[in-house]
Amino acid sequence: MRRAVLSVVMGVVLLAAIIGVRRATPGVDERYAPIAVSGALGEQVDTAAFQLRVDRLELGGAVRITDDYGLTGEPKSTAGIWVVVWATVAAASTSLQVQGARLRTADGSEYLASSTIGTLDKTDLSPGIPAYGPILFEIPPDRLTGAVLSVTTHSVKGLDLLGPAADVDLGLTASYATGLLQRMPPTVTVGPVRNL
Amino acid sequence: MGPWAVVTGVAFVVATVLALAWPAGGLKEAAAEIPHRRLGETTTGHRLAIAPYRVTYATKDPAPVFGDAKAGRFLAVELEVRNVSDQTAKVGDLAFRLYLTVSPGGSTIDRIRDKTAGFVIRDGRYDRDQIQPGLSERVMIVYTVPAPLPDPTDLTVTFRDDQYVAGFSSELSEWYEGPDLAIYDLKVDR
Repeated sequence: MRRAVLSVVMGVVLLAAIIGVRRATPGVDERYAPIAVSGALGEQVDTAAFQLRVDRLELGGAVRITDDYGLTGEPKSTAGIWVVVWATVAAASTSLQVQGARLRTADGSEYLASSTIGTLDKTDLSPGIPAYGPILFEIPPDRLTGAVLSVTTHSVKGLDLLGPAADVDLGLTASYATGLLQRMPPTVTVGPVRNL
Repeated sequence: MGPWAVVTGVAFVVATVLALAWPAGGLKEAAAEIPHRRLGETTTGHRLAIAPYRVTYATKDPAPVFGDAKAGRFLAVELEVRNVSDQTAKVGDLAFRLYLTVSPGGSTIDRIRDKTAGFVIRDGRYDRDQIQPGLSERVMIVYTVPAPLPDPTDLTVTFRDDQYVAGFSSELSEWYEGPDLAIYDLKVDR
């Protein structure tokens, strides 16, 4: 009888161990996630495929985009706020775009950059030629605090498996975010992307 | 055969049934009947919440890309859409989950082949298609009415859910088709 009880206890312990190991094992999404290099506002982040530096950010209730010919388009409104991230990017060795620009908010949501054309994430980047310009995001204003910029080379996640990525802390503390929101202009005009 | 062999056998059978049933969705009760809804009523899925607010039939393209609107037979469905997920969605993602049947005749509008446009209505323009998490947008999806069908007076739209799960074509999590959430019975305006 004692031996049988011992066997049952051992079985339960082994079952619990199996469940524990399964739960602790990273899922396929985590195992194949892009390999991110972290940085902060103003710092250069070097990945295997590109270098990125976030220079500044601003907010707006609407954006107007100035094209390469100096013509400024009509205001584009939003249901939330526009977050304009000004950054400098250079491709390392092959031409690419940084289409996978996302704003990851504190609640875990990921905001893919606006599909609006003429922004830095839609620009062809040649190796060794840095480009400076805006990346546009639309988010609800209450999700600004703690937002982090995540940049990869593709907008489709399945194409970035174990690929290069840059995660940039934008320094959006609660007080800083509140200040930005209080000073937010109704419209912000963003210039074209420039090669440096 | 001792009593422990019987206990072991029963435990094995129970464990095997659970091990097979769990990944297949567990021992859930049968799905409830799909509710019928009207204009303006909201249905919330795992990715999007929708509330259709207008359906119109037109003989000119309501959303021409360039130049004058071309003549034809168009059905425009306008909806209030909120992204309730944690990832950016597009109007095309919604259009892929709407199954349309027009009356009279009860014929199907092909949600892929017959769709001519899908966009966010903002600032009087049709140049945007993203719906960001936590934000609501007014959306229009335009379809052509196939030639043999009579002019539609009623539209039935079945809204199917999305589920973000690891799939079959890829091991990575993606948005896959879920169960039907609601059937909208809508009048077509002119």
